Amino acid sequence: MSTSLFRLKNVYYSYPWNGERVRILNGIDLEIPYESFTCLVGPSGTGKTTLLNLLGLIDRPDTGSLLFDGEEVQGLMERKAELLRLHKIGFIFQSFYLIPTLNVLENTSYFALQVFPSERIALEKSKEVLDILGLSDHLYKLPSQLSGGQRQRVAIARALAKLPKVILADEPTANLDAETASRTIEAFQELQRREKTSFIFTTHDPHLVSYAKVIYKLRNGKIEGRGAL
Amino acid sequence: MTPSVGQPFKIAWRNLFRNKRRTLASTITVAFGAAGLLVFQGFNNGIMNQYRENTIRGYYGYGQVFTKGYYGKVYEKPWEHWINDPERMEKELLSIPGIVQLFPRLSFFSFIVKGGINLAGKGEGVLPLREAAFFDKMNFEEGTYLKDENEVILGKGLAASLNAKIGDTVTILSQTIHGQINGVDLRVAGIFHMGIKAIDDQYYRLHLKTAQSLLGTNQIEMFSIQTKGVEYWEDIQRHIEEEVSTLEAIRFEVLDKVYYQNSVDFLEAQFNFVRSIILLIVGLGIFNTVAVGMLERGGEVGALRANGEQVRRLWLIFLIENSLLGLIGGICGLLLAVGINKTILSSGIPMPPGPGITRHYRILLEMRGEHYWSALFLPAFVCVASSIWPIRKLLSQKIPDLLRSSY
Repeated sequence: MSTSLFRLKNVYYSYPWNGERVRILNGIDLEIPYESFTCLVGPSGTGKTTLLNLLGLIDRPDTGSLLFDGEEVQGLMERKAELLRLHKIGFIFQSFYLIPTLNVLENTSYFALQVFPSERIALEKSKEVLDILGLSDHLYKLPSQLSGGQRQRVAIARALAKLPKVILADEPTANLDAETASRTIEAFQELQRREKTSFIFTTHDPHLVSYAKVIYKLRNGKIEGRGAL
Repeated sequence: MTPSVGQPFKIAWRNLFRNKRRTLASTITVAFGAAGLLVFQGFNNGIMNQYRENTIRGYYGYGQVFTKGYYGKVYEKPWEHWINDPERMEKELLSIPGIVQLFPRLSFFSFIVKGGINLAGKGEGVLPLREAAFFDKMNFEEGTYLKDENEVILGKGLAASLNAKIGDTVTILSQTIHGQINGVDLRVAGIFHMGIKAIDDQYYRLHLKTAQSLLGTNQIEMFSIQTKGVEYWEDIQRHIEEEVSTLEAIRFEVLDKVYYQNSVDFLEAQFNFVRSIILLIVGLGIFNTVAVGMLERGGEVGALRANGEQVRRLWLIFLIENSLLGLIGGICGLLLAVGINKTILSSGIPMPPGPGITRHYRILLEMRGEHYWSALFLPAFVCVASSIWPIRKLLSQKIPDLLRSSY
């Protein structure tokens, strides 16, 4: 088994814009261990979200090597990438993207039902995660009946209930007030401790950064520095 | 197998309630399409059936029986191919299940004379009382049907050429089957028309016995047949051909191909065109609604796919959603059409006289089982088909693009 959850070597990424290729990532070298609590920081437009997308297998590098859980993902077929994402990766976004017509439990168990062999296990695991996130009293509410913080926690629960190896969160607290943001990060930590799940998130919030065990600082599409607390 | 098999159905169903106003608009679009198809098809069928009734009860009956090989051919001595011993043959035919009545007929060419006017005409001998009881859709300009053996009824054009009026006497001159000249004086009882000028200009009817006497024979040319209904014809035809090997039975659609079958084909083509227009309108309406709905789901679909949702499952969810929409709209449309038929159109649609007919009549919607199925499934199918392009467009986008497109 690989010792690193992610290993990136000389990763370049660009996207087409007005007939030209705009370079976003400029030779990223990065290693993220299992069960880590990692934060990606840097000014806007520096490539944090792009890097997170590559780690989450929803985009592919132009060149370079990207190993996830010991498997090279460069050139991976989309069908295989779908299955890897389903079973091993959870994604959280600052816009929660819940399904408005499903209640909290149904949203949370959306992927768990595809991963676990029985509905009972999937629902049990979903309820357990919702309990950790303090949403046990809201199982049958629709997203429209929840506050922003509660919705974000449902999105976290949805990503986590399938027990992935890693949760990738793109500015997960950007739409939350300071107190809710802190509670969300504490929930991340609690889940990491209990489920041994790795967390990688991007943020501009210095308070949030203080929770991270490892910090990567990006500038102009490169890793400018690495810090550990 | 994971427990998620039924999940796409549940999500698809719930998605219908995501934007109730939009779902309602789509449902109404499909419902009006389905109702339009069903009402129009029922109307079309009503016209065809009305026309069929006119054809059957105007002249042809449900079909006619000739000696084998006679129909459609011209013979120098046609009487050699007429039906001998018609009374015995009639008894034999009446024993066939489904046959209600037989109308023996004998047609021949002759001269018809009034005053100094001498014209060629085609006469047909019939049994008036029997015929009048069933053939109640003949178009009479003046007078009545034949009442006895001394009367004749004339086609409109023939009567005009002869300057004949009700009560006038005309002389029929013909040749017996043995080659002798024979004639009879008959009183004009009625003037009718069949809607076809070529026929109305030379056709007349007289009593069968008078015609047989004029021709010196007891034969008949053919039997016209009254059955219990159109649906009995196939069996009757089979029976006749199996049990009376010298005869052949021809159904009314074949006998009246020029008028009836062509009218049916014409109406069918017209219906197909209108149906295409209705389905096109339904398709465009649904396409527009679905396209807007898909646009709004970009971020949500992006987040689901980022978390491992499979494209084929999303296809399934969206197709089920639009199938449900189409079916619900279709069912509403059927209920709407039935409601319209039972209320506003319960007494039928008043129509002007059709081609070759003098009477006004009312068309009742005649909606059959297969019409319900096609009115339900065609708009539903169009609903699904018109959603394919917007779905494909959404699901072919890259996940980062979907996430950026969020509302």
